Amino acid sequence: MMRYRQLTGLLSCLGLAAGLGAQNLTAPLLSGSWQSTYHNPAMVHFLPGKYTVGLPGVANDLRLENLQYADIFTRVDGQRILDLNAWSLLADDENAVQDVYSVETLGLAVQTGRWGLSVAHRLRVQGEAQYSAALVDLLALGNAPFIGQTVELAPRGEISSWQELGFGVSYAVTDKIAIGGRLKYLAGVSNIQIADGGSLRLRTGEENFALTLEQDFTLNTVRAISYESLNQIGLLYNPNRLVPGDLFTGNTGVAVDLGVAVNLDRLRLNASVTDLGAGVDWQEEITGLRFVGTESFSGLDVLEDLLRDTVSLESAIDSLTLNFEPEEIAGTYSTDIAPSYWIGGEYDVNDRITAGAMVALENRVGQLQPAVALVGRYTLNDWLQLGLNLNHRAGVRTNVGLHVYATPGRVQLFASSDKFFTLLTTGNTAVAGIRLGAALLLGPQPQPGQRRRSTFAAHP
Amino acid sequence: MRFYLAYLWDPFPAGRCLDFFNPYCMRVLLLCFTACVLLRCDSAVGVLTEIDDTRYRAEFAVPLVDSRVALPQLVGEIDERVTLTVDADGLLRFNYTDTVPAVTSDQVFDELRALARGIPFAITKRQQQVPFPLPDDVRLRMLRIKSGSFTYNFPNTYAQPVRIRLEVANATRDGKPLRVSGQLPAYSGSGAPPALTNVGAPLDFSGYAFDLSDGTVSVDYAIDALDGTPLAPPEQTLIAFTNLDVSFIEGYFGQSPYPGPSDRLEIDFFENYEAGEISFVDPIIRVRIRNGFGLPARAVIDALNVETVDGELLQVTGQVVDEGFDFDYPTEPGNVATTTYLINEDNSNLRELLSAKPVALNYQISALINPEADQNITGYLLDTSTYAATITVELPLYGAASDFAVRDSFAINLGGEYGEIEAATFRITTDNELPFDLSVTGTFLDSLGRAVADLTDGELLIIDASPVDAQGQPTATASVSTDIVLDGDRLRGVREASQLVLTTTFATTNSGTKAVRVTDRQQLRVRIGARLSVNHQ
Repeated sequence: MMRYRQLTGLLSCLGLAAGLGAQNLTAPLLSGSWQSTYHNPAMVHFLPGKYTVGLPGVANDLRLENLQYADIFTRVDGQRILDLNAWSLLADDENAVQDVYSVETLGLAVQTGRWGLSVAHRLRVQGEAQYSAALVDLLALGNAPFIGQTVELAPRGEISSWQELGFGVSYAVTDKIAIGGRLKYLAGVSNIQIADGGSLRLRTGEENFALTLEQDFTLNTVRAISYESLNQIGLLYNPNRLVPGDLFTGNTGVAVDLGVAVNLDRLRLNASVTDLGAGVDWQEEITGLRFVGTESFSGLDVLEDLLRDTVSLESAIDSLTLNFEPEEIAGTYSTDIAPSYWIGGEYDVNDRITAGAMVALENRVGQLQPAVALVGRYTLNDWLQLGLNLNHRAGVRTNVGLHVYATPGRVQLFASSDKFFTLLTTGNTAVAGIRLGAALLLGPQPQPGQRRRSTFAAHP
Repeated sequence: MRFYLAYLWDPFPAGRCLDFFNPYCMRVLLLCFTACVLLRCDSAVGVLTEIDDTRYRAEFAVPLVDSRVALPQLVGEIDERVTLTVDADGLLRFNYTDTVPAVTSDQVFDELRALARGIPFAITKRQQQVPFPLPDDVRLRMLRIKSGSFTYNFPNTYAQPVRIRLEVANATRDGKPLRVSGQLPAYSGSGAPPALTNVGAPLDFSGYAFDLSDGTVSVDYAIDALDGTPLAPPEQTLIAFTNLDVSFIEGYFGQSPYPGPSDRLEIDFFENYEAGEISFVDPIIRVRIRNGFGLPARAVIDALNVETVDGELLQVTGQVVDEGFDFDYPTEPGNVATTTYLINEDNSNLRELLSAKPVALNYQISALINPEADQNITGYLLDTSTYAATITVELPLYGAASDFAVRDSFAINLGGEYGEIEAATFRITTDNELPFDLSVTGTFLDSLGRAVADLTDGELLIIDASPVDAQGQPTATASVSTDIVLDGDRLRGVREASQLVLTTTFATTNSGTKAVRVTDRQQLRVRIGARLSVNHQ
């Protein structure tokens, strides 16, 4: 059953893609934090220090539509077990999987006069996919329930990873309003893409369960698989690959972020769009596989050999595998990274309680899907805040998040999970909407308890 | 470390946080520690691809076999003794063939070799006709010598020098007769007389041929004085042929039996016979003689019987056993003549023998050389001459069978394999143009031979006979689909089994009441699929 496990793993990987706006729903509202500037270049003006150094951080989330991680995964004796039958029971006709993962390395923001300048580098992995219940049922229940039927199995989706180097400029139009923009250079690292319009239709016959696969399916990859034959496909994909040399390959693209921030002291508003026009043109190290045509297998033609006692099952299966060998292609292709839209605000109810709300429009498998979050934060003392987050995305169960924001001295520390109960029940950070980050403020020492600027007036 | 943390806290300390154990510092450290733990985040890709195992309860439907057998595909050699051939009218025919080891001519040449081990002649006259030693009823005209020696000793007992000359006119090599000549000095009267001899170094006689048309060796010996006066051959004038080995003889070899080896031809058609009846129309035993002996001969059936499936020995009877049959012979050295003789229902009891379900044919066929003893027929033999008999039992697939059952057993050992399979259903679908049914029953036995499960619930029809016309030719395709279910106790029994005993029952159309034809125009399509219930927990 090892091969079966590998198959489900590979299909799961194919079911992922990046580029979504499936971001953490806490940080964009947290004015004054370094992390908020990733979502809105104008938020630089909330930073309390003249110079802010963005330190390493990580964001990680896996989002399973119609189900949760703990529904289908269990851990037994330290092993991660996938319960396919549970997955089958929960899957709807169409289901999405989304993943966002980023490693923020270093950044720097400078405020001078009414201008704000920023530069930041991070590795981003984004994936999304849509799969049918039939695909899960096939894996979980086998094909016997589909005898006499034809089922469409092809998933849709893409997963990409790239390094992002952003250069931001913002300007405080007034003491209360700042606008900003950021130009981002995208250096592609790896990609797995199921080309649009792909189809894999499987029919199981009635008489001896003959299998017929109608294929029109293209798989484009960069640094993701090694292919020699259908029996020898290696999965090379490494989402954590962070190599300086990847900044200078031919797999490149650009993106733009735009934002506006309003600072009314106790009331702070922001709106932005990120990843406008984003995309990566994949030009190098491409491995493409094209599955096309109708292939049927109704059984081994062994009767004559059996009569002659010369049957070789292995050679018969080898011949069968050859029939399904795909065509290798190496054409260039591109990844479109959909923009995300953010609008939100927060209000200091009193000296200790802050309330906020935000709406995000994120792309999911080609469609904009809304996400909403309500945030409440309590100030314990002049350096530590604890907050709750109630968030909901279409098709995904409403969840509760928890976050901690600490500003001891010149340090900013931020930790949050949008799915705190998921984190508690699974102990798995990858599925809990985790975001961690830190920053260091340089220049004049902020006042104790000052987490943000109360005005966009020109910086001294 | 302390300095670094203190700097992060406040690079311009005002005396608040220099103490590492200050509660503020401890809280910061706690936060940092928490962050470090959380920072070991797995990527979501890893979550989905690094799966240690899966759980599922599924049923897979998989095709196993889809095979069309057009009978012409089977025509040819099935194994080294069995071939399937097709007649001009399309009728298929099983052929069980055996060829006995070739019979050589060694018997004749060994006898000659013994006779020619040493042939001495004492020369007493100037001209002699010496008979060549041969069996009484053998008249040879020609011998070609492969190897051997010729030795002579010609003494001079006269008190004068002599010239000596010997010629064996009908012993020639390259057209030249055997000649020896020489001159000897006068004998002194004492001691050994001078002699012309090659006793110490005999002449290599290979390549010579004897022309024995008159049955004798012609020897001319001359011993003359130097002035030409003829003299009488002295005593001890001798010639000798020794260790002659012959490669070719020609003539009349007499009438004599020539034994052939015995052999056994296995007929596995009935090897696994269990029950029922089968009959063939026009079966034959084909005896084919491939003869390189250049002389008349007759095949003599020394032994010809069949072993039946019941262990009985039944003699083949009929004209061929009583009288044998003549086989052709070549007239040119190196050629081969082939004779085929058919043993059929007209000249033997073959029908009776086949109905007894033979599993082997035992036979010994020898030869009688010159069966008519006609000395006017000149034959020949090479030392490389052979003759060989090939026996073929031909069973045409034209006949009838009723409940003809064969039983065979197969070793199986599932052991712990496929333990996740809870049930298996094999669906067999056949589309048959052949004019016979095929049904199976099977029993699984454990290592002690105890029945632990049945393959099917009673006899299961796998192939349905196609209907036939008045000539026994199939007229339509018959389809049948059957399921063999292995689950529960039956599957547990299969797991314990070490052997499957399978009984396969054939019956021709209309329960074997009518002869049907199996021809190369008929096809059988077999499709097998399996539904496997797998519980992987």
